[in-house]
Amino acid sequence: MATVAAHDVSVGYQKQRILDQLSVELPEGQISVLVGSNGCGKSTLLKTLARLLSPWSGQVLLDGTAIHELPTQAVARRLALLPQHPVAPEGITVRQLVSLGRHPHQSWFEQWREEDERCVEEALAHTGLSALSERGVDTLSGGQRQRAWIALTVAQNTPLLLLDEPTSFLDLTHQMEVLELLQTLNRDQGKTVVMVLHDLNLAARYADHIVAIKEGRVHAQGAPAEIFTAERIHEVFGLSCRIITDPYFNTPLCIPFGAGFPA
Amino acid sequence: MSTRIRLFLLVATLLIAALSSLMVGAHWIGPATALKGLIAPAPEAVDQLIVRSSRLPRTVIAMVVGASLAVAGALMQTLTRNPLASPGLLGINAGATFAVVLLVAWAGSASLAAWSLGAFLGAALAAMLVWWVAMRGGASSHGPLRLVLAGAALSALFTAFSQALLVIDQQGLDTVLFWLAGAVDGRAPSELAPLMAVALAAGLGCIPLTRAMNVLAAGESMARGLGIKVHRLQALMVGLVVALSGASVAMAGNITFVGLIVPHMARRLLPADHRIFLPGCALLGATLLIVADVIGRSVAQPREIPVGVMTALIGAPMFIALLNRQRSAHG
Repeated sequence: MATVAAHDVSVGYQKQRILDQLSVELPEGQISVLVGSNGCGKSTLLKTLARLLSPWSGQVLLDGTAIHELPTQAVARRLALLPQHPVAPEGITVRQLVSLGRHPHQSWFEQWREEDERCVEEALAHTGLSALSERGVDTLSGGQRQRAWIALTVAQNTPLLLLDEPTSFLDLTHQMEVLELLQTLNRDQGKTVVMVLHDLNLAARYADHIVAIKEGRVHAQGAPAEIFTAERIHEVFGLSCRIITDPYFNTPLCIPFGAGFPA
Repeated sequence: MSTRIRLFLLVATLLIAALSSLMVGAHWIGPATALKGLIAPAPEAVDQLIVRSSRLPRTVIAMVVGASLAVAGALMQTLTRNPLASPGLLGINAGATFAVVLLVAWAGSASLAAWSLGAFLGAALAAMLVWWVAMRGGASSHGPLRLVLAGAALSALFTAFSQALLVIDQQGLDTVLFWLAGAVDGRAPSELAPLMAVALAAGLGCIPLTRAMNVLAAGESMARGLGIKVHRLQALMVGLVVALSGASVAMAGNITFVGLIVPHMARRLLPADHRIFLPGCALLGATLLIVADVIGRSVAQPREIPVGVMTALIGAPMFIALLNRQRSAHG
């Protein structure tokens, strides 16, 4: 098990501050979804949690230790990251791509072992890609390709999984496919999942914990039913909407009105 | 066809190309005599002397330069994640040319050893300048793109300086022209030994980095997430490119297209794994340059076409053909 938390983190690009003394602790063993309008800092937060950005002040704690003081390879054995829009190298096969996930577990003198092979096979099986393992990644559909990238992070075998907009550019069927895969990984393997999503209704369906970010700070956090209220959505997104309860799944369902139809 | 068989065929092709390079020239020498000249030379046999003193050196130089340029090109393409990148983008060729032009303008005709040293230093200094300009203000995620842009700008500047000097010094032009076109003949291997050692060391230096390069090819964020020290790896790779292509340009002048086209050919033949891909590039690059040199010395006899001209003549149509095939594969 592993926890990741941000403590008073400020970070930005060049001179522009994006996160402003933000503190958040992501619950262990749950699916957390970061939501917020464009430019609010949710992707920046995810990158900072994954130690891709160094905070100007404050720190990110991985299991209680400052992440920037840990060796980067040791971090990679506990925390996996799927960046936004990853692009596979030309001509690489699914198996080769998934095998890259074993890199943090290898050392210079101790290279490919049986355990690496087993982890790759398991990752392929979990993501339903065993039959496609020798195919070129560039011949796969968008949804399959995203599953291959997730398989890479599964092979990395970390208790923590961070994903930056894993469903963008996918049609609804493939978005569901990816989110169901992540839910399975969370339920069956106890992985802590933290991701950025844009679709509020899918976030409400799949998240255990929602973190709403506004102007570089945590505006509200909690279970989807607590966070998704018409007032909050208006505060965070500046969007007029009505929230009803999904008749099939009993999760909050957001019906956007926009400026033309004030709620 | 398995990867093992493909690699074996690449080695076999290289050996055939090398043997033909010992045989072909103004004077045809049979394979038996050529091999005898290598293994058990008889002192007074003229043919064997030609093989040893003239054709063997240029074959070895073509082999080392071709392999170095191809590997340097592959490293550049992985580093920038741009299939059109080549070592020239780091300002290496322009820097080496400028150094040689400066040397000729300043010292008149210098020895070949002095030229080579000057070219290597010019290449290294130009690459360092490009690196400094690109990385000023801290390393960023746009590092490789900035590197390419800085390389293009400084290359143009160095080329302008060279041209200005050559316009002033017409005599220098004649001396430099042949070197500019790229050539592997008329050079004594003993003078080039240090440069060969640099190229060989850099080639071997790639080996411990190949697994990390595989990860870097999946993108910078992904690589950092997987625990790679990306900026250190990029700096090491730039260092290897400078050593490989700097040594090449110092040995053989400006030879274009090898670094650009060979990685594309290797990608079609071999798996996308740098542990196999880079050795494959070395084999293909060595073969391509030897073949270009053999053709260059046979088509316009008794004159020779510089090998740098030949690589462009062979490389440009091949590259266009590859682009077309790629387009039909994606369309």
